[in-house]
Amino acid sequence: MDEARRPPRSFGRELGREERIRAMDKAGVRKGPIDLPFFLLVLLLLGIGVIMVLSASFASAYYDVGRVTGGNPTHYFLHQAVFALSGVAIMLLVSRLPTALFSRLSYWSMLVALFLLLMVLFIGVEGGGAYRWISLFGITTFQPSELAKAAVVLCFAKMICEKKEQMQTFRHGILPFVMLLGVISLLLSQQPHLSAMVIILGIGVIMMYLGGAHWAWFAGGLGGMAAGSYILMTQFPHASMRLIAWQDPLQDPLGIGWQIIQSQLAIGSGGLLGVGLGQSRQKYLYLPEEHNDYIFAIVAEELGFIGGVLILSLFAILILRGFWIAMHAKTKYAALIAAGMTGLLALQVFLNVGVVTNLLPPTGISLPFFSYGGTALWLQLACMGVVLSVSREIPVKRAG
Amino acid sequence: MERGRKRITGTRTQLWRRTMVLMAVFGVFTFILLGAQLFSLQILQHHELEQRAIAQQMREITVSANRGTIFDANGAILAQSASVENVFIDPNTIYRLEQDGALIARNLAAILDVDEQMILARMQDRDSQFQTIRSRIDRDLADEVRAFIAEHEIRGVHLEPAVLRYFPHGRTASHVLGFVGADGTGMGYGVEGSFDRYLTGVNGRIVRLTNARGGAMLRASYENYYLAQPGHDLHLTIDVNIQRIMERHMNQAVYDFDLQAGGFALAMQPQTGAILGMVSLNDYDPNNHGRLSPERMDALRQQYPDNDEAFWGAVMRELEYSWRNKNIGYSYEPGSTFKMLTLAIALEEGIISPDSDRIFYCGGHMDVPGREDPVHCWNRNGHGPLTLTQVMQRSCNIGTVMLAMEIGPDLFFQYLQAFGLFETTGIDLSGEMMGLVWSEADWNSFIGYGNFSSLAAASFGQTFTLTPIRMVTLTSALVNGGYILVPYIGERVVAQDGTVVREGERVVRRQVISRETSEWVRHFMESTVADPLWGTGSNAAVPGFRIGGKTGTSVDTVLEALTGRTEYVLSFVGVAPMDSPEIVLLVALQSPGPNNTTYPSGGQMAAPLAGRMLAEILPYLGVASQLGDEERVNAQVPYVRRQTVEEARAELIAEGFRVLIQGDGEIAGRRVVDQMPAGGAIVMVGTEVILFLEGARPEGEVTVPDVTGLRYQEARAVLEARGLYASRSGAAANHNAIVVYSQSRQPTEVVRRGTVIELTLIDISR
Repeated sequence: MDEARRPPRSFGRELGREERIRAMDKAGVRKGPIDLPFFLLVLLLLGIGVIMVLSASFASAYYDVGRVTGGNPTHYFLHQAVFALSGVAIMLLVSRLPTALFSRLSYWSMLVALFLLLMVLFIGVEGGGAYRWISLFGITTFQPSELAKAAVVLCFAKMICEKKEQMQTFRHGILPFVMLLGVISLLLSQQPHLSAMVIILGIGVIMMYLGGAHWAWFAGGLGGMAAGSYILMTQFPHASMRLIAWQDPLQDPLGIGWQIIQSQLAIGSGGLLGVGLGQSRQKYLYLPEEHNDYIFAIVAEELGFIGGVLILSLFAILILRGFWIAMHAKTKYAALIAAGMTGLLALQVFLNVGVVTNLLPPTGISLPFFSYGGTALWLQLACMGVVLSVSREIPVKRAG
Repeated sequence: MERGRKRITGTRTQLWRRTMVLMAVFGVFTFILLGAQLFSLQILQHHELEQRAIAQQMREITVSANRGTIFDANGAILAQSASVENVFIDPNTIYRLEQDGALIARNLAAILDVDEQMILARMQDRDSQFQTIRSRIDRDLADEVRAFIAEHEIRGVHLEPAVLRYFPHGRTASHVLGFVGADGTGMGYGVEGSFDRYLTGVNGRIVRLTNARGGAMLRASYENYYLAQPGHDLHLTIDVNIQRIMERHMNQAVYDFDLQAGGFALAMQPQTGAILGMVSLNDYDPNNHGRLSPERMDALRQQYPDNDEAFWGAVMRELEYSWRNKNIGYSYEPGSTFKMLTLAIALEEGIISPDSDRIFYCGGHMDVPGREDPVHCWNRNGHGPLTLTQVMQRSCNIGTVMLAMEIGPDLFFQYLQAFGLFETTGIDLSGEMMGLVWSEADWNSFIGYGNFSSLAAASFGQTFTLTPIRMVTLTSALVNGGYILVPYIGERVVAQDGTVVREGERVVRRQVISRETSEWVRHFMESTVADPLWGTGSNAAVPGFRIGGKTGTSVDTVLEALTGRTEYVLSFVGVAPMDSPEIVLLVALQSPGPNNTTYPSGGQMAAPLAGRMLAEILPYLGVASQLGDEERVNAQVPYVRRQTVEEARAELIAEGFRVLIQGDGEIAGRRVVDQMPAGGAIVMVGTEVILFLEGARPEGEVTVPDVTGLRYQEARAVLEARGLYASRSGAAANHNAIVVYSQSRQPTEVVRRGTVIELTLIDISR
């Protein structure tokens, strides 16, 4: 090549690396690299998840159960892949944002979430007898409850940081949080959307626990939540039916018990090594929601106990790493949002796999990175971006 | 700075601790729970859950085995399973692959002759993968559908093989054959029912994994085939030709006598028990056994215009009636046909010697102990004095009762048991029933009270019923040397590789009378038919064959109970040939209607019918005609040239010819110079032979006339008028239905006078 046309090698290198770090420290905007283990674990789980969507949805897409695929067996897979790729971009974009920005947007996010939760009751799209979705330009749909989950994390973290020592009191440490959760729950109950309510109450309690609420209140709240969920279960007719089905799926083998039975048959068929990737038999229209809420049953059937435990281990390591990032965060707010987002992830994984393996009563909670669903995946990856953003601000130990 | 740091660290310590707790709970503890649950499901319950999953995923598809073919005694096919195909559509695929539904519906409707709207409606069920459009189409239609699929590259229209049971002879022998249900197995009627386990074969199976809708999994990860084993073939003793002869005459009788309740006819080989023909007139088409004729449907609909339940009940009753084989599933009073049994007992027990010259006096009635009113003879005026032969010939009740009274009730009852009235015959058809007879206790108690009424009535076949198959079986025993046989209809069951799996054979239950008695019974039976003046069965006589039999006229008590009217059964049981019986034939006609003009008796209705059947069946069976001299058809003209007129005439007349003498003047003592026909020619008996005396010669030529289609007597007259002579071949019997079928010299041919034309005769009543 022509030597003369090259830019001078010294361009942009006036400052050495040390100097730049020092300069950024001074400005308070110094950014380290994202936490690579966390990032790679997310990518790994996402990659496995998208492949499993292909495998799990292949039969139902071919037979066009939902009348949307036109018989194209890769329909769901292609959609999910597009959302996954764009979701990774969103995650990286969010990870570039400073945590201070999240802090400033915390209350706004809650206001937007509450507004949308209200709006969905009027302009929501009906699905399975409930109004949980808002149409986005007629292209795709979006659940405001997903946004509300993240908003609870951000908003509660901000409130905790502002209350400081007052968190020990009932008036400041408990009441505002419980009231806010109550409003959200009320709105969700109108959709109705039981599973989102469970998650939001769960993450709310986790945030309050992290915020330093007295353990006695926490213990009382846990009891209250248990009582509340009992009342909800008995009052929501479809919830109480699910309880019955959970206890004895054979009582109603063709109704609600069907998916519980079919899920167990799928998982049980897997055995130690699984029937092999793509070889699931239960996905041939036996197991409903096989690429959504019950995708883990197909994973367990195809990849076996070893594959299932491996994927659960990846989730466990990701969650441990998320909490690790929180523990090393630069500010209290950053620590709270990192722990909150990780807790949200952990809660969803536990509740989903618990339901699929019939450890818990059935509710429609999706498995992060696996379950089919575009906007939900975007939000999950954005939340992971928040954790990565926190990880970038971890002070690096300097030699000397 | 130092202080602030410390404070932050202090609060951070609590946050840090609590994050650690969350780590332990959500990063470790919950995953241990999930892992344990996975372990429980996938390792501990693996086997049980996998079995349950496979149980729901595995589908067995039955591949029906080809049902065996049913043949008649000559190998004609009576029932056959044909491979057909069912056409079905897969609406899910049609919808998914965006096939042209309108095109499919239009073309399938045109090819298969079904409603286009029906196809379109079934196509709307888009979840379904299986909607039948038309079942059981033949190969040609199926090929048309295949051509349509190929031409337009249609997806979602399929053909699947199926099996159809086809009865090529329709109603012929329908009760013998029975029918098969929708699943292709016998339904308990006829040999399709009784030989079902031989005919059915073993179905094959395809075991494969399917999706929840029953369709194939995209990847057939498991498939296993078990081959079907075809059923065995069944060869019957029934001969379709004999069966047809019997059916034709029975159907004619239904028309001639306006029979309201049809009838039945049953032919058996009396030496072996093989059934030769079995007609039950209430027949149906086994190809369409589930449907009444449109006329009957309309008639029933008018009977029950508003009551659907009653209407369908009536349809079902009528169908079930049509399926019933009267020969085994119906019982009737045998009437006088039973008298031969009373006679046989009397002969066997030495009550009377067969050549006894004892005279029975019939005054028209007779007092019987235990009866207030006397037993009447059918001839109320009385037959007067009768020999034993005449008692049978004229079917005298009084003479028969006399014999029975001498036999005594105990012995008589023992013989009824021996002849099998209290058991089924054991024929290899399903649905055989027993007649209605007294129990031994009832019989004995009647007698104990001094009531001989039952004995008297039983001796001439009344107050009890038996099945037609039992009647034929016991009549066979009367003429075959005394053996009660087990009748059978299945000649051979042959596996597809040719091995004979089961063979019908002569099975003797017991011997009930001696060979000598049997011979005498044959003698009495023959006399009943052979005596043209007094024999009640004389209408059954067929020239050239020795036929015996017995008539019966009785009240159909079973039918009477249903209709409330007096219903008659007119029957005849015939045997031929009498020196070595080859066939026992029972013919029974039920309930002559208002349009009948014939006197209703077994002798007037059933006997001539049986005679017509036997006239056709016996030559078919290869029974040689045994015509006596007066019945010969052809004879050889003796050589009478150079004999005196007297000698010649005496010889010719002795041989059965008529004589015409041609010559001038006094003829006595003159010699014959020529004769026509020539000596040695074979011509018909009774032909006029012309004897020429000196001076008269047969001369000239004549043109052969056309005599085809003429009755043989007319043909002979036409030929003789031209100086031609006839000999005959072909049909042996002499009755009006015998006509000339062909002649040995063609019409318009010019021949010498005196030429013999050979005529071939046929019986156009066949």
